[in-house]
Amino acid sequence: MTRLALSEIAKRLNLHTETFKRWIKQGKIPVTKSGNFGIFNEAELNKWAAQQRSSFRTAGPDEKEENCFVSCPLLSAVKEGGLFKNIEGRNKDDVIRSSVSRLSGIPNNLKSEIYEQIIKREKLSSTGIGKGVAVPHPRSPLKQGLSYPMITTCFPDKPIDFDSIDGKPVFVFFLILTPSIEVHLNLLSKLSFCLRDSTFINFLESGPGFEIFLDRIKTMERCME
Amino acid sequence: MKWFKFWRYPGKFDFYRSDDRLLLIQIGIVVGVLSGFASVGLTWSLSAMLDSFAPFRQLWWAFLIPALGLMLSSLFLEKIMNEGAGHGVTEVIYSVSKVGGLMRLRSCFSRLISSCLTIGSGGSAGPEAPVVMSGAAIGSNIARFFNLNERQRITLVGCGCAGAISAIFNAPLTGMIFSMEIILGEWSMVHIIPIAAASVAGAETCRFLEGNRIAFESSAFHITSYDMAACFGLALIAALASVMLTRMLRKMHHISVKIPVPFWLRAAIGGAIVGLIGFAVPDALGEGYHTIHAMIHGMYTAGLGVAAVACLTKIITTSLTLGWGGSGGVFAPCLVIGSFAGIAFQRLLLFAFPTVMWSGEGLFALLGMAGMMSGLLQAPLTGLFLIVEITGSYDVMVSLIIVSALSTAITHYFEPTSFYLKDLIDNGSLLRPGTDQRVLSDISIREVIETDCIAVLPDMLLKDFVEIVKKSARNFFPVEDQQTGRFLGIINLNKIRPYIFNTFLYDTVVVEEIMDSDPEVVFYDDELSDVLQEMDSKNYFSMPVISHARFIGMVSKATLLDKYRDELKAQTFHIV
Repeated sequence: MTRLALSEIAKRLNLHTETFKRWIKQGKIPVTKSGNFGIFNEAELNKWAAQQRSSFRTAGPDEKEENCFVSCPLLSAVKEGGLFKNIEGRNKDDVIRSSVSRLSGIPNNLKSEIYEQIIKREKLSSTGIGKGVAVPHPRSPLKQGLSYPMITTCFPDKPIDFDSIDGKPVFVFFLILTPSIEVHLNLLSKLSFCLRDSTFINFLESGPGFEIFLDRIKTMERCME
Repeated sequence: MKWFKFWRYPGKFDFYRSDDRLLLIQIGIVVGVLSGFASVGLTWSLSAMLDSFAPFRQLWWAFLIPALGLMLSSLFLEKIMNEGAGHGVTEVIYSVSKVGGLMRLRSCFSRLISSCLTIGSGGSAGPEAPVVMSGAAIGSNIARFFNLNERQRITLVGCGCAGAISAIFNAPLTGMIFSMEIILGEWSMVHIIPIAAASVAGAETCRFLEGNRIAFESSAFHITSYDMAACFGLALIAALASVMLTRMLRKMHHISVKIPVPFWLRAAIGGAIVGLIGFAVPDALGEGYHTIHAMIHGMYTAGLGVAAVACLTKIITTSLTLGWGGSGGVFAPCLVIGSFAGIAFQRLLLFAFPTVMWSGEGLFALLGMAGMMSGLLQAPLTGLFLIVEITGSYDVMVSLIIVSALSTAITHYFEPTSFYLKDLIDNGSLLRPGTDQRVLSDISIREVIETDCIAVLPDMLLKDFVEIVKKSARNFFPVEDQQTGRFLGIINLNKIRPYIFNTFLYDTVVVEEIMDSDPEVVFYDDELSDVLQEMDSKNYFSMPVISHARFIGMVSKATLLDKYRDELKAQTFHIV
């Protein structure tokens, strides 16, 4: 026999407290009430919950891991992705291929898929957003092989024609890989906020080192909040 | 002391926790025995009263006896017990569908006494419905004593009804079926077993006290194909009689409430008229079981005209007794009317086809009873099994089925709802388990309300409002007065979508200008079924909920479907 607060059981069953109390009163759920507590047999309630739509979570509500991916997503994604300079290649496809091959922590077979996906997306319309910057990304979020979102900052050894909207050749591009649409949109919007700032573009043109670059991202992300 | 209290909570014993059927069977047997006692008690006091009034029946003032009886009966119910007149079955069904089977303790005996006064003095009514009410109240109060939950209490109310019917007719099967078909309206395993136990307990109590007798034992019938053909005609006659009784009962009630006299005087007038009719047709008085006996055994001598008149008279006296303030059921009068109708039909057949060998009037009386019962109660199984059990004639089964089913169908054409349920359906309180109304009436608005809408102020600029839109997960934004918090109106994102992307408007438009200042709202205490009806008729998917001029949240069909399914599943969990 387990004894728990009524509101606690209701929460674990994903039920409204009022509904839960009424069900006890009407005898629709194998729980008996004793003051503000409910008494039940765990196995039996599990069985009941399985027959219903909801499931009974035995453990307490899983607290969301408090990590930097929640508090400052852009900084952690940029950190995860890394920064590469002097990417070789004569055209768009070449630089993308060589930057994808430099990605760390991703199996090789996935790399070729990522490359194809990115090229497919580029064919749809160029991700060159002007001012010499591009944000290439796969057409749809990666379903597997990626546990954290990553933004890889790449500087080609010479500016590349990217079919950008303003026709300017691209001197830096950010490769965005995310596990879900929400994260993708969030990162993209934050990144574009940074790129709207012309001082940031100038900063990028100076070809900063990774540490200085991260510091700049950190301050800019703080500004957004 | 703690132990002393503990035994009153058997639902919490570990032994019963996983499956309470055993508990319900045990308590159900107790309930069945007690309702058996109630029914035997009523039968004995009724026969004692009828016997003591028998010598005065021939005197000129005998019509005053039913008048006095009805008056006392209505005074007792209204003034002492504080309960309205009526047969009681409707009250039981109401309590099962609306209040989780709760009944008052005094209902255990109130109807017994009042119906004893009504019937014992000569009023035309039956003792069954009062006993059913009493049994149901016994079940409900025992459940309350043991602190059982609503589902268990409803089962025990069913047990009480089953025990009562099975004891008064010595018919355990009928008790069960009556309880499931009419009182509970659902056939689920979790109910059947305790109710069967209670039914047997009730019947055994009656057999122990009164001996194992079959109420209207009949001799075996030799049924020919002519009799079978006659069943169809009889079903029609029985159905017409039951339609007539239903309408007459209602009409009498309407007439009686229009007469500007106190209720007890009204009851007395009704009783006096019944008494006067009784001079001419003595068979129309009382419960009338002796008449049924005579008819089944072929000892009823009157011809077609007399039988038909008796049938009509019984309909009139019954509706007078019950409609003008007497207390009792329609079971017994129904049987009497049915058998009169059967006899009349048989006399008609004899007259029309004198050469055919008909099976005897007992058979027709019996079939008439079944047809009448099934028609009036819209419960073919109850009618069928009652007749089989109280007459002990299993060989008439096929003809009984024909008559019961046909009569139910024909009556349904004229009177789509059963006599017991008519009032409940009219005021929307018949909620059978597993139905849409039942599910909706259980869920309250507070359970489905969504409170995660972000409120905005009326003088907010569109620019600032767009920022709020970014944060919200909902399409609706209530507008509230800054000082009082009063609900002023609502913004539906779908309606303003074309404008919020227009940046020229950002600094020129305020929230007040884009809100719907007179939206359709629902209130916190509204019934969910009304809310849904409102949504359906106006084609809304969500509506704001208001309480005391303040916005509480939104109620939407999407969330409702979620809760609706949960509720339906929880409700029908025990049926499988």
